[in-house]
Amino acid sequence: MVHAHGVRRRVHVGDLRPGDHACLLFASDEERASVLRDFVLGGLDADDKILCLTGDPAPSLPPVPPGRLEVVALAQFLTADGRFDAAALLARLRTAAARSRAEGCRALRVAGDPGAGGMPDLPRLLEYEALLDGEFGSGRALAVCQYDLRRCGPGTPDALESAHAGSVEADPLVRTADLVVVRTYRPQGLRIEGVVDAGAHRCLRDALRSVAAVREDVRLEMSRVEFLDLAGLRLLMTFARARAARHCTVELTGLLPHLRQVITMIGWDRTPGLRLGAAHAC
Amino acid sequence: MPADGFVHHACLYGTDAEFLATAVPFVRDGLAAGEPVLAATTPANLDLLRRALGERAHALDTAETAYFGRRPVERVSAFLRYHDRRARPGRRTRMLAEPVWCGRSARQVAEWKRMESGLNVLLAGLPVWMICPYDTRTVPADVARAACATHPARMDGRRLIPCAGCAEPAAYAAGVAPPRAPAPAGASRAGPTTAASAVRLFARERAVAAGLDGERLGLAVLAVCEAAAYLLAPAGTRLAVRAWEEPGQLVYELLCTGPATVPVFAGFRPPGDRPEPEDGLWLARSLADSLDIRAQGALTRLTLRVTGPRTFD
Repeated sequence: MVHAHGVRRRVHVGDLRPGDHACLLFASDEERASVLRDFVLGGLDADDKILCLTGDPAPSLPPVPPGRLEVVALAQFLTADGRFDAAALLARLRTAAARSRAEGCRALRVAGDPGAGGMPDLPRLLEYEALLDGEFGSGRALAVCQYDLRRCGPGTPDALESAHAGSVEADPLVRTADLVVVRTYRPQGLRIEGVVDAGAHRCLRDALRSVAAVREDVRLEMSRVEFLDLAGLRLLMTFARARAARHCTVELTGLLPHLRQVITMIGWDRTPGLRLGAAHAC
Repeated sequence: MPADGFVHHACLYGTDAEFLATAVPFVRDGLAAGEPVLAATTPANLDLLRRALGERAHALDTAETAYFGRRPVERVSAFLRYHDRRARPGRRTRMLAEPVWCGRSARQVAEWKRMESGLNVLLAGLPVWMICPYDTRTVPADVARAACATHPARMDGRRLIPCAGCAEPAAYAAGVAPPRAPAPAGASRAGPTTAASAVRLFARERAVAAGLDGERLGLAVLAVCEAAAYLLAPAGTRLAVRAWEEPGQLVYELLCTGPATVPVFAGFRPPGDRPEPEDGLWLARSLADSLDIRAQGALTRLTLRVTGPRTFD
């Protein structure tokens, strides 16, 4: 999860492997539910045992077959003065990991919710994260720690992120050899990467449909688009018109300058609902 | 004149008076009938026309012809755009459209001749009456002769003279070939392939090697890819690509054998509200310096030229 130069990176939840310890900084319940769902279902596919260390209220989870999921309230590891009882937590994690191996599972998959209501302040959270980080380096477990950005004070997200090897985001809506489309939540929209040609129109159309119901302005982040053909551009224009019908807009950011030129040449820059945001930094 | 359908006349004039003898009644009658009237001609002719029309010139739409579509594909778009914007229900639209011929290369002259003929197909069905003036003092003799092959009739004042030699557009276009520049022995090659991605990678590699970068690189690759995607659309089509450099231009040649034949005037109409199979070819034509499609038996040869890195806008 850490690049050669130690730069933290963003990773799709489906790409997490045993030994990974990542954070999910979310700003909407929808974003959190989406990632958590992928995390749990990915665990079922990989034959992992799933352990949810929940706060209050506990997040909603997808249905899981009996015996594959254990839910534990984090509050039981708090001491009377609000500290984590590190020894108790470690013992619980090790027991769970050992049991998962004994049951023939690949690894223990931990979904932690340390930032939920009633949980400790930042220094103690970092202490908790350091504990998990040390424990998971062994490769017998993997964890995603969820933090609600709406509850974080200034500077807290950076500190929390630096306590993890990377931050996690939803699995791509589209992942082919040439095209990746990821749902984004801050702001709401999609990040499109790669090549959109005749073979990718259907995928792009489906991905756009997935954000059609969003009741606010949507942003399509396109700075990693290598190629986008005319029919692909038309899909974006059709999407913009549908946005306008909902009294919302779609903003295209990072658009390659030559594509902006093509849009203007055809007159599509006047499409209702379309905003051409910052250009590609090339 | 019929009120509906495209009517396409030439006007061969050798003096200012002859120009006005055709242009003034054409414009005046149109304005009197409440029809939108456009004059796209030289600044000198616009001046003559305005003075002759007097007060009525205020109602005339004008365009300096050199800027009203620099190339044939842009010219067709300009005509259609004017019609879309100014057409009135139940009324015909009139256009006086004098192409620029002087100073053009042999390739460009061939392309404009073909377009003049192609207008009979591309604008067919539109309620447009178009008169294309040709100044015999300046246009080459072959261009003046071509006017009679590309227009069903010519106007001389108010007199209509049928053009006996008017040719069927597709046959005419096939007979007016641009200068042939066969691929040199050292041309780079790719394919035959059915994969658009292989064409895209090749197009990009050759454009980079030719020194294109930034927007020009992106536009060149897009032009080639849109042309290739159009040719590859029918299942079973295989495409071979060749590329070479000429002074000022990078040339791509797309050769395909497949089940479908390409209509001669495909890709001249700009994209509309609904997607059409020829939209991408229109974009390729619009982004390229020139794009020529020829059928040779079962083989279709599409030659696309893009501006080289040493050309300045």
